[in-house]
Amino acid sequence: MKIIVTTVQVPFVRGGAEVHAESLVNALKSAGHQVEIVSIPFKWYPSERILDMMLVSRLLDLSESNGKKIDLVIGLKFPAYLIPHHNKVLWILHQHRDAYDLWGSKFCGLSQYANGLQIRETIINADNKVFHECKAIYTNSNTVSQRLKKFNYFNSIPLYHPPQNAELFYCQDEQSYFFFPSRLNLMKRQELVLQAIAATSNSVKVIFAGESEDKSYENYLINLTKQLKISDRAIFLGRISEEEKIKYYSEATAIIYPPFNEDYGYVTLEGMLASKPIITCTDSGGPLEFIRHEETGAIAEPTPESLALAMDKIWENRTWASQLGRAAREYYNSLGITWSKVIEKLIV
Amino acid sequence: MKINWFSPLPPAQTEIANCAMRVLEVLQNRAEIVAWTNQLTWSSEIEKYARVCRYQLNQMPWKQINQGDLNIYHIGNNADFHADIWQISRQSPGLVILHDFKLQHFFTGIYNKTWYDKEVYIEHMQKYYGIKGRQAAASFWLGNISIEYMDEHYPLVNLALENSVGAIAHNLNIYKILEREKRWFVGYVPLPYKSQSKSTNKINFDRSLPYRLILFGYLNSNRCLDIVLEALSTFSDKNAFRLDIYGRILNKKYFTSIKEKIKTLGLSDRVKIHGFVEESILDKALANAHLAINLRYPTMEEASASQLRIWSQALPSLVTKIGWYATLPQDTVAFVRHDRFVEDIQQQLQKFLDNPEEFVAMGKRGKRLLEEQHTPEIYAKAIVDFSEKACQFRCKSVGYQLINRLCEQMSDLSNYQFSEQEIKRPAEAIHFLTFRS
Repeated sequence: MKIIVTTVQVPFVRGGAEVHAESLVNALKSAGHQVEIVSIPFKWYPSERILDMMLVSRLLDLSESNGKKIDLVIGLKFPAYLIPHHNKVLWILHQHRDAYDLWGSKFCGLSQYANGLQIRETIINADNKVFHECKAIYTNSNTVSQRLKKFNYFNSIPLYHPPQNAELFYCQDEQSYFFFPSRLNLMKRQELVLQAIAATSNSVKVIFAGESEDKSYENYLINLTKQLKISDRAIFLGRISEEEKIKYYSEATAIIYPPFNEDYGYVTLEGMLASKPIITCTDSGGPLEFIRHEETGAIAEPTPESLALAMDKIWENRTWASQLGRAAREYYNSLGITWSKVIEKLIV
Repeated sequence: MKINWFSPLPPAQTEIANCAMRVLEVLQNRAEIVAWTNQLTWSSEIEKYARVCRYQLNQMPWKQINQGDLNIYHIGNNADFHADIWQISRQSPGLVILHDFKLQHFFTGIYNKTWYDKEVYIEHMQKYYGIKGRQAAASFWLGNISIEYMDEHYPLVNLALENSVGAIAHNLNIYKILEREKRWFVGYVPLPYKSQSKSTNKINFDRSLPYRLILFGYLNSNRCLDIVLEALSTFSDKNAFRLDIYGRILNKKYFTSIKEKIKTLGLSDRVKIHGFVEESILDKALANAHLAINLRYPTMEEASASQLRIWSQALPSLVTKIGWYATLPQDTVAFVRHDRFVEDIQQQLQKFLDNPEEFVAMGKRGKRLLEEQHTPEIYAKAIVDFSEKACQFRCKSVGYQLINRLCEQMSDLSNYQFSEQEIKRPAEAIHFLTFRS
């Protein structure tokens, strides 16, 4: 089949979504299909740009290319999933969250614009209409499916997929640190973890890997580390290679990952693959679909105190931590998360 | 439903502020209201009915505003009260309540007297009226065309409704004009008035002469005061009447000329200017009057709160047969033609002398109409109904924005030469995004 995967990209920003699209393409190619990515450069400010992006998406014609019919379009992200096609399947990573679960929250940019409400309703309107056009709607997690149900009244099926290089993760003796690999971002809540470190009873150490698209936020975190007097216990590595990342996973005492309402969260799955317990929060979304409290990790309230308690408990009980990590890996294995299952569903 | 209400609030010296008070008192039972104002002070009574928030145009709390379901903007002809509201309405689309239809006074108040921005004013005129509008604007700016002419031919209501999702008119004719454009959600509801007087005090008609005529309100030149004086002075039985004038005459030159005219026409013992008085004094004066004179020429097509106040006292009235007044049932008012002012005023005064009971009955019918159609309760219900419907139009108004942007781009590329096929696909795309299924 000739298949187009449609997504968006913020130029020079790379994250899970890009990995997701590339991995899907590779999996489809491995299954014998001809596949291309059509990626739209996405800009969400000023708010009118969102409308432009929606219109641009809607004006594209992917029915054929060079006289050859395109058999299937797989839409991953807003607004690229608006591109029309007679045989379209959505596998939604997430919608434009500012218009949905983040609307009016401290994380929402759209509601700060004068015409934010108008654009929000236009997004919801377009989403509702495009969902009717599709042959099937899948999401990458139950969290995303629940949002679709809550805001758009559409049923969808969560379809888990393995993280990139899943087969390369391994476990080694822990080296007394928690690992938090993620973009430095308000919603990933590195700030909460710094406050939790300061509230721990032990000299808990956390290694952060990842960079920020917003330098001022990175500086804010560094300054906060100084203010909290935890510079020796909060280490920021910046961007690291895939190989380094896997090694840091392998030697961590536990993985800490407390984002706000994450869609899916590769970090959770990578931690499980590395046989490490994962500490997350009750409002972290996707990670909660995989972590079982005190069976494969720990689930804390999203407060520095609660998170600190969970961190202390694992820090003080290394043998227990190893047991949780092994259970996490076993649980991952039991889920049967494979690309072949994903492809089987998406190809219609 | 949560409504953001942008309006002048008491004690602002505008009837629209009083209207806000009347409406919010009952609207609070149907919706949660946040009343937004740029005023430094407001009547504490309004806080019984709505949470009041102060805004500054350069620091708008959009996030807070966006938590509401709909913004309602009150637009009238006084730039002092409505310029900020209009600017907000252009940025954050909502429902516009039009207190005036002919809005040249408003926009010249902004562009000519406040911002001194001739170019933008002319651009707006060109946008809505083409090259003729541009030429008229330039000529008007130079003082070669009167504002009355501009109002008549270029009301600029579309500029007041730019980016809005809908409009509410208090005048059925205006409603029909806007509805015809099929551009916005449009609603009509009669202007509300809270009738204070329960009894019709004109039951026992006081036949003692002279009969008391009353003229009141914000007294601009379009209130035809000079013509009324002229008609009274040459009326054969003028001694049967006296005229009491209440309200502010804002234009000092006009005020002086009226005072002069009273003297010159020999009406000093027949006409008294009381100026601005407390509401209770005006109510008493209305209760004791026999006939109200409520003329306008030209009219901004607005519904008249003064007329509602007149009816609330079951008082008969003379009105001009133009604009909103012309839509009134003919048994509730006595009409005067604008091109036969003196003749018609005198004819109506004679009719009054001949058969005052007929005028008493007219006043009672006016009061009944007020109580049947102009209650704040009816108004509040309509506002909530319209608001719910207007919310459905929010996406549609995005469609018009996209059409404008796209046309600008396409015009640049193809010099206004589009084939139907070229337009079809973008039109379908915009329709898909912005029209609800």
